[in-house]
Amino acid sequence: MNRCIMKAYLITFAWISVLLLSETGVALASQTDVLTTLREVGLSSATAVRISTALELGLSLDHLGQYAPEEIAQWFKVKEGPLDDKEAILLTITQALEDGLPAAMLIDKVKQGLGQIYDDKKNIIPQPRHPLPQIRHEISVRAQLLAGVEGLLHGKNIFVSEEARAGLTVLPLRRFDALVTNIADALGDYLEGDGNPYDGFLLYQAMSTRLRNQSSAESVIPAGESIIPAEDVDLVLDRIEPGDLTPTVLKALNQS
Amino acid sequence: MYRVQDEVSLLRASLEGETEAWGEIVVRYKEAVFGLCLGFLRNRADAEDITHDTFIRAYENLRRYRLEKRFSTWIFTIASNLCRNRLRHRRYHPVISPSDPVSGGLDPAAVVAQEDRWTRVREGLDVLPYGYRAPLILRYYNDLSYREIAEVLSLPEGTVKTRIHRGKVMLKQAIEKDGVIHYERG
Amino acid sequence: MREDNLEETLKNVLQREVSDEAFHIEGLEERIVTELAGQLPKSSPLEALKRLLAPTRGARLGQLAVIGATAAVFLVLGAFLAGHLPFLEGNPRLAVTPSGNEVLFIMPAIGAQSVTVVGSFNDWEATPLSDENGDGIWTKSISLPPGRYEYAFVIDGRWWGQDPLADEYVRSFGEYNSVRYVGLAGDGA
Repeated sequence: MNRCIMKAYLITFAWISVLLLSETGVALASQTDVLTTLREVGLSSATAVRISTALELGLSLDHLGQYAPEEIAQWFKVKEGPLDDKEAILLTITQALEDGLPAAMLIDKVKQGLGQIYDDKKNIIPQPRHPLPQIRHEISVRAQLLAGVEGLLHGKNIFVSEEARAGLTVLPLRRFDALVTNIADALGDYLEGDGNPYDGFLLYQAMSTRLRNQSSAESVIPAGESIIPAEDVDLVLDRIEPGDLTPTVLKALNQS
Repeated sequence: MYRVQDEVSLLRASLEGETEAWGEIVVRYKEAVFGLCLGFLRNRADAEDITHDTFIRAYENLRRYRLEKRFSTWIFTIASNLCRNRLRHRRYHPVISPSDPVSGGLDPAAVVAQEDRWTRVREGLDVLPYGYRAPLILRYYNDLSYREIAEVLSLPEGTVKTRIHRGKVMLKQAIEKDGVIHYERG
Repeated sequence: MREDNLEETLKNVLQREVSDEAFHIEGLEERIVTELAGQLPKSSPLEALKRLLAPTRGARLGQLAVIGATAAVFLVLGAFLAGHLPFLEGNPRLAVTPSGNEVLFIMPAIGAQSVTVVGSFNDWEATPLSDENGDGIWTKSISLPPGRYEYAFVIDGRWWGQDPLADEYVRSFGEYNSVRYVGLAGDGA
């Protein structure tokens, strides 16, 4: 596990908090709701506990984006589809959260894939907009990309930590997560747009364009609030080479 | 030809809605933009499309252009971004057909040798990865400085230098693969 | 004359390629001037629609085939709209009011029963557009903080992922999504 000290510490702390609350019977009300909902989806108790615990962990690390654990569980209860696909999608998210990855991008993609479809009377109907296997495949690739990009940044000595150590560049968690999310998402979009994974330079351009645009858009935010400051973009573009991206992408494709 | 000659006046007139002035800008830059697109995309039809789109897009966004920036760099940036978008949605398919041999008073053997070299350079460009090809085109067709290329492609200047150097080495290797031509070192 | 210099050869080859193909861009300036002159005022929604309908957008042809019959009507509506929404002039890609990042979503859909926008800013849940005067132009203004947003329109249940006013397009689940960078300065093409 090539994970930095501070991030591991944060994850461990969050894990202990979540587990302690569960062990002492002071489980959060929301987690109980999530467990109940996940069991209603049809998942086994053990799987439901694992998923709900990971969702709580993600919530504590701000890795769920704008979504709450209970609503995520609710989607899978409402939408029709094979149980094994639902389980696989939830476990992909769970694994990413357990690894401390910023899974908000995956969750947003799942929400988009499940969609909202209405009948003639404007009632929401239970079919997902896209087939669950398609969603499963899509987020599997992106989850692998998240892990791959995090590993790539670590390989370039870019870490999350408040501890300055010789040779390491350290970023606050939020900024590090923003880099991982945006790079992985840009690479995922590139692949989904039929981009050639062997063309490292197009991959690099997809990454640099995304980071620069995102950073420029945020540059209008009052000082201190930007999560991708220009200096982080420069850091990434200086350290990552086009040749680094093809192996990262191919690994993600092979493992998904 | 449009009555106003200097570029700044043409751009100001274009901003005020004088499309004829923009037409003069198109006249001045269309070949450079087309060459960039042809070099980047290696596909004439796509290059023609993107050249057209570049001038439309640039006109629409003219208010965003700042006079302190070279206009050529700005419009090349738009063209480059549009090329990239086009490439994102299709795999690279080189379709440029070999040109007719040059005619004229040259020795036929020399003409054949030159055509052969040129064909190999074209084929070398076709197979060169986009990331190496793009800076080479901007450098050797559009005559941009390293700094301008870095700006157009959103790359650090050092990376541009490295890519141009490596691109030439790769191109040379591709050309020499069959032992036909020997270029100078470096 | 033998060329021993790769750079010279490269220059010659590139120039030759362009000169061989340059006849394809003959008269381009006239076509562009005509195209722009036919779109008044400059940078109007009509122009954006024209971009959508231009034959050069190969990737959009499939979608265009579906709506081909209504495209001409859209153009007319775009011209009409140009006179009705003066605040769109100047920057058609992102309408930002002085007070903040008020982003206007606009979609011509004559005869539609329902037009909504779904995106990363509303959890992919439908925000309805309105057409109060019944002219077929559906609009909705949404306040968004700076950032990148993916979205699509849904017209009577049909996904419409290529907003002519978008900064870029991405593919997702085999469909197009539009992207806007709110707060973006510069080209952003």
